[in-house]
Amino acid sequence: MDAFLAGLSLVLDPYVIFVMIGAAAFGLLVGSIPGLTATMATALLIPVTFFMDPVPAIAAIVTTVATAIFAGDIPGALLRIPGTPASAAYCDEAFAMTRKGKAQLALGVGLSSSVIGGLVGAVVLMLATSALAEFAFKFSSYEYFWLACLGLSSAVVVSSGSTLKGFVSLLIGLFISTIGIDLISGHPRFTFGSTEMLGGVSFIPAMIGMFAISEVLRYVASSDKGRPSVPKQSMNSLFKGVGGILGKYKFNVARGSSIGAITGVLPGAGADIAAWVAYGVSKRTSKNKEEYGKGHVEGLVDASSANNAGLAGAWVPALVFGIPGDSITAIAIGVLYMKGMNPGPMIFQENPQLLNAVFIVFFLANLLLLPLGYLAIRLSTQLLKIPSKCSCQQF
Amino acid sequence: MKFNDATLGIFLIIFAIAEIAYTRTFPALHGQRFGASDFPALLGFGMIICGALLVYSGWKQRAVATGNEPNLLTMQGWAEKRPSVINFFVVLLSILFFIVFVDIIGFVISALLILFILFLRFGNSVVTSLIGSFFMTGVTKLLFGVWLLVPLPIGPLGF
Repeated sequence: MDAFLAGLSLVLDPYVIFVMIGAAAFGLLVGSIPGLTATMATALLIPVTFFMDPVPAIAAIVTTVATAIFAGDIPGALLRIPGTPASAAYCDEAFAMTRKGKAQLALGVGLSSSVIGGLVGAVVLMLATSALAEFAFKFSSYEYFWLACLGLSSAVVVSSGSTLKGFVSLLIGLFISTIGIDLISGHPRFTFGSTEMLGGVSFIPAMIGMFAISEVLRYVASSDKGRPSVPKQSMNSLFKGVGGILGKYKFNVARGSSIGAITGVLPGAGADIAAWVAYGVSKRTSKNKEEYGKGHVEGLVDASSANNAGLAGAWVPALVFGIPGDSITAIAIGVLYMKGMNPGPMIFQENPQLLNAVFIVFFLANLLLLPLGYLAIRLSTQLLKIPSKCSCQQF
Repeated sequence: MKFNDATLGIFLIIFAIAEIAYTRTFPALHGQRFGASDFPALLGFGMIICGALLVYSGWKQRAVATGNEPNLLTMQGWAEKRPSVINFFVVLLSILFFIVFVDIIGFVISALLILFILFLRFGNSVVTSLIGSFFMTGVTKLLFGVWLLVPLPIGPLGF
């Protein structure tokens, strides 16, 4: 308890709170720009954290990531361009809601689910860090193989329309992932002599190409009459109806958060896979399967809570064993070492107050997300007011 | 424009055969029977199976709908309308132009050119297009190039 109170006093310093608010604004900005990921936001923060004490440095990273992951939902819902890979799973669903004039509901539900998911993730991190870390390290190659299969099969399950075409898309995606140097043999595959292709096709250009370019082409190629229109919508009452939906789908919130927290704990999995798996499970078990992909809020609740819950989960192996759960914690581990807070089993004995401070920061960051996310949504909906004649060239 | 499933299936099978043939050129690991070609080849076989299933379903759907031989390509919708086709290719060519020339003429010039042409093409006046393209290029350059330190190609302008 003493360690918790000591951690609390470290976090409630006005300087730390100020850093967290600044980091939240930065995270919202980066996350809402398609093509910039939460990992990039963290990497960009590192030079700034050089000049900070351990707690504000970690607080800045945690807050930036939590807000960036949610902010990725905003362009996903308004423009069908996921801001971060973690929003890609339910981008189509959220955009379909916007087309129905329900952007407010989509973003309100996304924000609330993200906050709840993030808080559940923080609770899991706080209560079960050591137990979960042990569980995660029982995973061997076989378990990871089946986890990868589960994630990939989710991609087929979530595709609306033909399952066969979903499977074809999966194979094409896997083929694209083979481009570049083969990690086992070191032989370049499908690079055709190009040095740029040796590194393979990274997620960002693939995501921009699949979502953004296809949406732009679809838009410009349709006639004025047939053009998919997005009705003008106000965001004045963002949380209207959200309580009812979260009440109706409370099981989905709990399930999405749990899937997120557990998937996040597994090294290498992270928030992106958590969102895909949660959305896939949601569709698979829903009574309204046929509504998915047409602007149905249920999958959004699951996936949106999962990706934020996954963030805290990824810190479990990072803190207990110094092994990153995802690319963000890989950077964060470096910061922890730099600040003399060496991750590993001894962290519980050596730095209990700092460890508790990290837990508290997770709670605060997710609570901060609510007002700041609301502001970000209010600001970003100006996008919908841009005349369509101009907006189709903004990409 | 809509491809019949059978057409997609045929494309997929041709692509998969070419892909598998190319993977045969990859060397195996020294002293092993497997190597860099195994996984892509496996994917290729999966594509052939999916392609065959697509051909079958496309053929069946078309035969059920019309009782005739299947149309491999339906040109209904946007592809029939000339402006839509031009819009489609203008965007596609703009992307290709950016990919090919951005390292030579830099981000600022290529973005200005592309945005100006697109603004004009989508019905804005010359003045609006000029203002719009300068504004958007400036905002993007500032946001990505200056504040977020994304290394945008510089080009002859020196910035």
